[in-house]
Amino acid sequence: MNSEYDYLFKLLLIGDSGVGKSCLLLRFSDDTYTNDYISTIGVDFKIKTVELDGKTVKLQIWDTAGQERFRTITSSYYRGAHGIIIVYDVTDHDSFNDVKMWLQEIDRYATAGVLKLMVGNKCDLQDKRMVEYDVAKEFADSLQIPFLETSALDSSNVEEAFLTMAKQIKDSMAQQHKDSAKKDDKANVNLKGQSLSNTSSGCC
Amino acid sequence: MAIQTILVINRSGGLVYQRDFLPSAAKLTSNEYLILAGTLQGVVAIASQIAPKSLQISAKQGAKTGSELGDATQTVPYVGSLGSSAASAADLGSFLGPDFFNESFTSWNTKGLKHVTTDQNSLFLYQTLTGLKFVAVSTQNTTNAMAVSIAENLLRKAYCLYADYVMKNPFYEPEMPIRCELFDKKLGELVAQL
Amino acid sequence: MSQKIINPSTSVAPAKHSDSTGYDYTIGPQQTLPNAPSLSKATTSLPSVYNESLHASARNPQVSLAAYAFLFQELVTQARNASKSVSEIELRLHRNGYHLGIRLLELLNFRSSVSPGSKNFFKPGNSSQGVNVASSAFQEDSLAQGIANMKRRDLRMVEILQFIHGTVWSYLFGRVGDDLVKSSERENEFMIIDNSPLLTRFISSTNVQCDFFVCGIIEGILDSASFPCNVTAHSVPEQNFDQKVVFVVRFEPQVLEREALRS
Repeated sequence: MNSEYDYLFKLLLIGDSGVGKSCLLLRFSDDTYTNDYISTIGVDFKIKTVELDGKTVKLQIWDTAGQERFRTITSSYYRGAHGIIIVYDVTDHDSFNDVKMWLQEIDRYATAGVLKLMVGNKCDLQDKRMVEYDVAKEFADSLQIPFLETSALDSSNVEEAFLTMAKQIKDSMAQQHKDSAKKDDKANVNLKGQSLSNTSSGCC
Repeated sequence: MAIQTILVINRSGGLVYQRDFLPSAAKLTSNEYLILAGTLQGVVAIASQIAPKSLQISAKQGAKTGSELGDATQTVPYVGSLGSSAASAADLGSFLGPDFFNESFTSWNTKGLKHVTTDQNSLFLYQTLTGLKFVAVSTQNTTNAMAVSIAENLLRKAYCLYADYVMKNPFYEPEMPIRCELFDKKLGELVAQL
Repeated sequence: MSQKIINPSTSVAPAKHSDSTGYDYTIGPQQTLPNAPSLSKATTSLPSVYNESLHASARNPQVSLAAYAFLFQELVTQARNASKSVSEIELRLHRNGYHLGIRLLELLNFRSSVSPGSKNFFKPGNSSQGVNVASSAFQEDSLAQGIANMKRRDLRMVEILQFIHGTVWSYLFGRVGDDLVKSSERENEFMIIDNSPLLTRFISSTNVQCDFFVCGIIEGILDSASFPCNVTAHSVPEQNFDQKVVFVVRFEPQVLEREALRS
């Protein structure tokens, strides 16, 4: 029947075109990698089911198109997102500079207080590196955004990036869940009896 | 026309409720339904952007001339046959009469997507003022205007059930998947009346 | 029971008094016009349309079910956030209801003993200046009568349960309980049956039994009326009433002993 999951979290991947958002996602959801570059049109989804504290959580990850021409629709995808992951390419300094622009987008369209995460992708390409870890780390710290470097190719840190986020969202959900404990209330109760209603004439 | 599936999509495009009413229907996995919901959300957003300029302008003018909702706002005719006989007042929650809605109502979905037809199916979409979407998939393809208004009437009642049995349930977490037995039951009754 | 019981939520609104303060102790708070025209006071004390509130709900006191449901929802949520286990949630709801029950017993007993609009109950000598002997005698007479007509305490188990099943239920939920049943197995057990509980009408059954709030009310009433007992709620879904709830009242042994002595 419906809803074999308890929670549905909406995560959003944003960043410049070609930084590897789709690859990162592919690694996380299917644990595969492709070298082919296919530009995302509009939005693409990947869904990953994880278990957190005994609850089934579906992470629906919205992989948005980085290209400028899709920007007008992208804004409508920010709505109600639980977490937003900003991706840049460590071998492309422009994509790192654009992170500021993406953060402005978040401020404009997303819910205030949405969880953010900055990810530097393609960290396996050490020889082509243009953005140093320390520089990015300092930038992220100044904005109080968690930061990590990943590689979709050798799958380092990818799982962590998403799971950390999922856990944070789960923790931030105010409701506690204690109704799961079962109890037997009908054990020693006998509900057989005789009606007294007909005697209660003057009462009601 | 039989209802095959009813979906509820929350404001952010997440699928919070999905239920099949016909056993014959080709089953999609829950992930596929999630993607369908997200895609619909995107399509609705795109559809609202490609609404003809003339429509948008006439809506604005309507607002200026003091008409409360603008000229482009459509009203949906009330379809009486729907659940007026079998369901008593108590059955449908806090409805005041045997059929609370007995007049035409305003469709808030002024420039978005309402109706999609394929060779086998029709998909009807009812959007609430708050951005919630109720989707019904029926087994026949139809472009009949009557069918569209029947579907809108049905989905509006589903919305009413949602307001009663989901929103008034202290154990429901807003924006999360709906797991309310009573909502399931009442929705089943509503669809069965069709 | 020969006394007339007034069900405030169902009874017809009584005649308005010209010096209404907005609160009638036989009914509860009432809506009045902020500045009742002095004209009507001077000319006549007959109820006039001008004294009536324009608001329909003031004449026929009703509470929106949605408002009721949302308030209760918040109560449950609060209990839920503060507790660690299912039984603790129920205990909290029970406790909330208990305090309500203690107060309800006083209020409803008082209201059922005073006929609505008997304004002179508190101020017997408050008639106009030219008091003559006859009228003051009449006043005292009516006061004595009022006291004599006051409802007696319910001393038997069945009586107090009928009070709950009838008066309390009508006050809280606008109708009497669906049935009052005596256990055929145990002497000290009674059951109040509600086929579709108003408070939990929109709440899908979970492990938490929200009707424990009503249990608390019942127990509060019975305890403060000196019928120490223990009340629990059990949902018993039936064909036509899938939300049917049975409130089981289990009296302490001393209540039975007392009952035996009395008869």
